[in-house]
Amino acid sequence: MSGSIQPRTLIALPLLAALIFSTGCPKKTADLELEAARAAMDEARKKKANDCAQETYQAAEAAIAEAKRLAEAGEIEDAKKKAGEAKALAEQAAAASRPGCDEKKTADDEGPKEKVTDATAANMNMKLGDAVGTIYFDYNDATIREDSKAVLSRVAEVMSKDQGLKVEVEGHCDVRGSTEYNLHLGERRARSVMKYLVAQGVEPKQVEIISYGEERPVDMGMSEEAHQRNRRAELKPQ
Amino acid sequence: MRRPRDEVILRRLCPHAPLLLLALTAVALPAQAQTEAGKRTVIEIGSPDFRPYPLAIPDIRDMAGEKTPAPAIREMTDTLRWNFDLAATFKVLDPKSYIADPKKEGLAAASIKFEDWVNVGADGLIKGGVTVAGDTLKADLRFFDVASGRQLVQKSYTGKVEDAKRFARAFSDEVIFALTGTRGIFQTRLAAVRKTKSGRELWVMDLDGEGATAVTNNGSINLLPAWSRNGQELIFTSYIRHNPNLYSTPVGGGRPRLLSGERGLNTGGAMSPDGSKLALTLSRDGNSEIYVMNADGTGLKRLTNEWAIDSSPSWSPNGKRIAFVSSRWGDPHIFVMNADGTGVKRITDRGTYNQTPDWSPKGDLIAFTARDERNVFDIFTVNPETKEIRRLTQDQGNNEEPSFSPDGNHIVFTSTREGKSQIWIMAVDGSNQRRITKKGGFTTPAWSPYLVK
Repeated sequence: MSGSIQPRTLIALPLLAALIFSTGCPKKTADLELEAARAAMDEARKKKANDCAQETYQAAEAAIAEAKRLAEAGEIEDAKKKAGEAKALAEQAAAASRPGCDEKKTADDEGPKEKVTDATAANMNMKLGDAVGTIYFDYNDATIREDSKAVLSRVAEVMSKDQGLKVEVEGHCDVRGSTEYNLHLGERRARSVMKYLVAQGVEPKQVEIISYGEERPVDMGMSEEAHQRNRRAELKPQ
Repeated sequence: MRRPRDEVILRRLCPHAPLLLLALTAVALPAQAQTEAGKRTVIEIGSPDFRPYPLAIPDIRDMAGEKTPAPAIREMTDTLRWNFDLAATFKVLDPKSYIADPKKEGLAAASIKFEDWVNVGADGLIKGGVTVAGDTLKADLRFFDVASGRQLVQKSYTGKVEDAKRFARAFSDEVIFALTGTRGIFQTRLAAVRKTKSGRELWVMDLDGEGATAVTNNGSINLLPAWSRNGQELIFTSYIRHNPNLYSTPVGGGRPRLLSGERGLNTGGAMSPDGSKLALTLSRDGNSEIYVMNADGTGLKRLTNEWAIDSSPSWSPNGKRIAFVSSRWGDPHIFVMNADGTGVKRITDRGTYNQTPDWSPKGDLIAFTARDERNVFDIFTVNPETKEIRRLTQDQGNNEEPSFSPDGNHIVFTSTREGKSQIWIMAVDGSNQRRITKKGGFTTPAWSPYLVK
């Protein structure tokens, strides 16, 4: 019996070592993410975010707890993601906090900072009202930027609680580049938004995407600022 | 031995006439090198001693003897001159320099003093006589080789006054064919998108920008026109039913027909040279990929499978390969693959932003748009075998969306050099650039195939 165990152990040992190594590294990184999230929470707390932006602050708190739980359960990748969300929410709550505030007002005030167009938000379905708007992209890129994540997390939070809510995500590009390529780039942007929302608990059937490429610019200018305003995804309640 | 120069001439002028090569080398360099073999004349672009073929086009005569010719006759003269100015291989000699007496000279070779035309430097001479009676028009148009005094083309046209331009275009094509052995392009047309207040509509126009008519007028966004191989329909993407579907619509007007209505984008419909297949870009599988289907919409098959954007298919003239844009290496570049999706090869090694490939009907070049280091867009060509790149536009605003003429000698494109985006035409070597439209707001031009049998 023991004769047959020994070779197995010999094989198992390096495997185990490899396992520890492979999980060890990301675990450390998840700790860093958690640490960053906690720091952001501290900052938010200092600014009285738990009074001013109560919902967001509490969401951040919940996210950080969830991230901790996931990290302990060994779900390192998910923990990292959740910690990132927590950090974004905490920062958002902090940014929204100033004396004499309330959650509703601060959500509106955040607009320019996060480049949410209030004009778009004004047309929105009341339930999604504060959460929906426009997010922006880098040149020839469809990656969700850090400054958009808080907005999208808020949308996801509202939408995941009420599956009757639906949005259409419109992808847009600046006017440079070819008509056809920009149609596809615009759709990639819209799809990035959809994927982000779905990853945060929104049902795929709640999100439709469409690309208008460079055909519906909001700014007809040719300046870098104009281009930036046109590289966007608009979330429109259906 | 062949000189390389002759091969250039051959490719440009007469790809299917090996006889011409013999004739060229034999005749060598007299200025009016008319060959016995095919009555064809040496014209060569791009070499240091290139000399465009000098052509005299005196005013078309009003055979009724009116002092002031009818407007239709004036229009005919102008159209002939405009056409041969456009063709970079020709130079229309200034009419003010002509010394022949128009009163004494008739239409027949016997009545023409050819020395007078030799002396103004003409190799070729176009003459015409027109009779206008009421709304009918009769035209007799002729083309002569000045050196030999021989009449090479004679055509009679009868029709309405408003046909004047059409006859002039048809005759221009006859002259081109007589000289080069390839079909002229003057009876082809251009399709383009025009921005309107409410959206984007498809338009078609003649090469000189005249006769512009709207093909769609639905107030929606209609984009990316491409011609069917028979020139009777435009294939395009429209948001008319919200989702950007691919449709086909008769150029002369009529209801659009749905070609592809997959969820997501349906763009860039390109008909194969034999008209049996349609290449297109769809995003139905969650990413922009190139597909091919039968012209009747059956047998959809996916050709690419990449995380990146693959789009804008353009067929090689033999239908065996497809050029396309892919961002699979990060930045968009021009790639080529076999028509079944195998053998993918990157063609553009330079630049960081290369788009809108259009494969020349001659097969040897792919025209495309590239963004240079100053963030300016310009037109380039690349040889798909050697990957040799040639720049066709520079320092003249943004130049984009090239589309080859059916003879492969010219390229239509958009340019912002005069402000708003307008349509321009140039020779395939970048020479002889001229604006076609008179107003801005035109994008994505597409040159028709030959429209007249």
